[in-house]
Amino acid sequence: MKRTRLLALLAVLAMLVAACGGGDGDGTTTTAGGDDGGVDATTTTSGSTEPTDPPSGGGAGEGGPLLLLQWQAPSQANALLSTGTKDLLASSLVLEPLAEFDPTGGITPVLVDEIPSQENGGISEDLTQITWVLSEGLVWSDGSPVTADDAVFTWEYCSEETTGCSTDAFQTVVSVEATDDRTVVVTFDGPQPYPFVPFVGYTNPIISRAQFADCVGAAAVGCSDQNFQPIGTGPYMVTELRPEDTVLYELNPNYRKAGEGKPFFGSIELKGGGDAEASARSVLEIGEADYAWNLQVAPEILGPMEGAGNGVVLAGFNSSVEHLNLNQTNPDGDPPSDYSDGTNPNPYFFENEVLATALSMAINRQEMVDIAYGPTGEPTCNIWPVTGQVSTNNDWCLTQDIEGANAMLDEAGYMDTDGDGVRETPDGLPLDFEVVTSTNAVRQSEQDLIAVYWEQIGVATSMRNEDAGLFFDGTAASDASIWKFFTDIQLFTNSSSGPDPQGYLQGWTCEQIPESTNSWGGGNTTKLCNEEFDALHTELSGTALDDPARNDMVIQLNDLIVSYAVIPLVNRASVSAFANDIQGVGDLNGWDSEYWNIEDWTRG
Amino acid sequence: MGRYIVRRTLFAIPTLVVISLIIFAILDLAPGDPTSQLPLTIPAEIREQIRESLGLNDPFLVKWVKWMQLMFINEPLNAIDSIFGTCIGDCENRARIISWSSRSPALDTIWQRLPQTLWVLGIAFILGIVIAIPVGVISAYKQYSAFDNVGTFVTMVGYSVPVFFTGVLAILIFSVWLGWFPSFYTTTHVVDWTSWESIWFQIEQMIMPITVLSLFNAAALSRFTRASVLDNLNEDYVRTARSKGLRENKVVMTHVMRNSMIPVVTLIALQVPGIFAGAIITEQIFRINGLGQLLIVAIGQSDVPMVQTLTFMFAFLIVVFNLIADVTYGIMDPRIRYD
Repeated sequence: MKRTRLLALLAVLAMLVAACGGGDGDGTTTTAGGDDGGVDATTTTSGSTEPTDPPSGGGAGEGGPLLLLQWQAPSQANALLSTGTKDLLASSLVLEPLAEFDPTGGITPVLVDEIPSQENGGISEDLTQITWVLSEGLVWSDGSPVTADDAVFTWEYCSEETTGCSTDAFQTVVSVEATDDRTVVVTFDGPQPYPFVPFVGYTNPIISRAQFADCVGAAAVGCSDQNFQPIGTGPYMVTELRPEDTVLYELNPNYRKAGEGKPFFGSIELKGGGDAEASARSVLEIGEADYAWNLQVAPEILGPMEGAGNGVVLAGFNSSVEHLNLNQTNPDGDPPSDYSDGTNPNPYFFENEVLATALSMAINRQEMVDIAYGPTGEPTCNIWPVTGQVSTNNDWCLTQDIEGANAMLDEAGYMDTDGDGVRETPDGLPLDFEVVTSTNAVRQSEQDLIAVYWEQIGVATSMRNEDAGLFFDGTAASDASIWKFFTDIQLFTNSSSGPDPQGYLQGWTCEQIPESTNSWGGGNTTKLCNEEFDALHTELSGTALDDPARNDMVIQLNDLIVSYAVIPLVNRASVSAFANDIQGVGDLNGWDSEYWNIEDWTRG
Repeated sequence: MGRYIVRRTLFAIPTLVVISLIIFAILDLAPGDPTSQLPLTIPAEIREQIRESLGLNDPFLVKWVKWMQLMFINEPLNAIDSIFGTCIGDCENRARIISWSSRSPALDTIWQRLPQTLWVLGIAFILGIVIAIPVGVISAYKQYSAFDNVGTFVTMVGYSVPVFFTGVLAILIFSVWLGWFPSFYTTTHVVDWTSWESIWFQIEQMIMPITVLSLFNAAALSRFTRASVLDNLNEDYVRTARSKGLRENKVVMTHVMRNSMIPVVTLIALQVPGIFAGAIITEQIFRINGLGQLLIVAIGQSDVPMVQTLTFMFAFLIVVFNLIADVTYGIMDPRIRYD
């Protein structure tokens, strides 16, 4: 009797539990590491909140607190020692560069009155010197004056390599001098048509000599106070920094725009922890925060969240391109994937336009975007996708053409001689490739799609994924890194650190090939070496910015890369969410800090 | 008993030394390099220099001894200095264990996180005990009654359903649909005990994670308590006590409980280190940013000094609480003689 009662009770309760079985996330919260082989800078074209005029004449700080969610919590607030975009963002509220990039990739002055150019004499005739003149009356947040000497000190801080400075903007700089209290002269080692790299952007702020004087070199490690609470010129000051947790800011009373009532918000709480989906939920569904950063969340989850109506999702497009690298060296060589002066070419991909084109043709990029990115990605056929300098010669790749790919391979002699569904090269090697990427739900779904597409053209694949920390580990310690490239094909995102492609495209020149002899230090992960490319790049480096030939050269260089070494897939935007009542944001800035205009943000 | 304690303590020391050696060895062999975050333009010689300065190229035993010195001498001295305001030895320049990602002393960050871990997880632990023991005792006393069946069912569900499901479900119901409680924990909130609002804010942000966790904790403990009480209820001495005319209340609360609690207290003592290791998943879901989250983040960033320090701390707590559990067992049960 007792037993039957118990069973009946259990049955009823079991039915109740089954009825309210909730769906959990489709396993698509992505956990991509912070840096995908490049700074996660993004710029935007789609969607923006309405910019409104800030309240005129009101006191600064009357807007109260602002809550920003950065699910990767900052570790410290000194951009020059950053370990990822998270630190750069935390720092950008306090430390400022001389000029910054706006959402279109243009340059706007921050601590100077005008951008140097050849017309105003700021850039020398021979393009080797650039002169910045600081605005008058600039002070640090503690009231002491900002002088050109602070810029000189910033250069000294980073030039001392044992400091471990995380920016390479000073690579081509020979000297930085202060000719007077407000004039900074930067001299390069050769003509630089695009000199807006040192002291420009949130990766290159200036720091105070008075504060950091004892923190150069090996002493940088012991300077937690300075690194956690840097003295800056920005709209806010750090009041408390808890690493990997929260940063609290209050407004800077000596901010140069305080007279205009800026910043509107009197304090900021920058909260970290959790994951992208939880941050999105907080802003979009619950409405308990004002901003959520880097929402790498599948579109089928993010879309309905935005539909709840508490906030808006902004996408910022820039040069970030998710792409496939076709190894130009042979991973089975000795040593593996070693350039060896060109004596170790890859038997499949080395300068093989036909195979690369066929593989690219077979991919349905639009489908990939719809499944994995939604409105935060766009199909692209170019490694440099930025409007104004983008090539139109490769747009055939936007339409999937399985038949065309099959026909191409047939014609070129890639037949399936043994009937196993896999083609072989004319020399008899089967088209069976190992494709490796980082562990990340979005990337794994891309791999699944690519495997299916390529199967239809007779190409077999084995898909692997590596932990992001190892995949993007540039030291000799990790054998799985993209710089060693011990496989046939890799998949990841590359992006430039600035809007000008010259420095970025240098990453595909012969001297940038990572090898064991240079400790794998070089950006040319696909190990392509093409004399024509190198010559054209040298020419580009000497061509003035306003010369129309410059754009043509960029397009040519792009076309060379994608002809056989790289298959671009998706132009990725960075994605952030804003609460509906946050005004004044404008377009999401992909080229610089997303907080670049935070002094203009208001709550309306 | 005294000799037993001394002997166990002395034995704990080599145990901890071996544990630290194993932890150190495993992490030393793991890939991950502080210089991997630096730009690739830095030449190899400079990277070597940086690694030298961090002591990474010393032989393994040298590195371990240096770490032991930092962990057992420098850090305790630093703690004493900061608590008591003294300055022992070279207090300005004393070397400390430095985290590779934040470049600040690892123990400072750990100390900063203790409050939220202790608040939320400590309260959840205590609440779990407060729920589990009465439920266990009553379930055993009224075995197979409705209370027992419901209790069994609820604890079974509470134990089987993973925290990442109940946690997210709680957020969905209480934050998204009802909007009653915040979905994340603000670690910088300082409770002003004179202000009801301030106290309520703290309670609000703790309710969901505490409920979720305490249900989970209570489940196992209540089953265990129930089993232990059942064992004792059928003993002869209980029959004797009843036949002597003692009130039922006294029989259960005084006689049965004392005997049943022996294994339960042991279990509780062994679970205490779990508070500190933290319910990692719950911390992640509710963004509590305690010690568990710190460990996960440090592992993801290959921040070896932080991981070494944290894992060693947890190992230390486990060893200590093992000893406490054994001693408590010996105190509560006079039949146990260790010496």
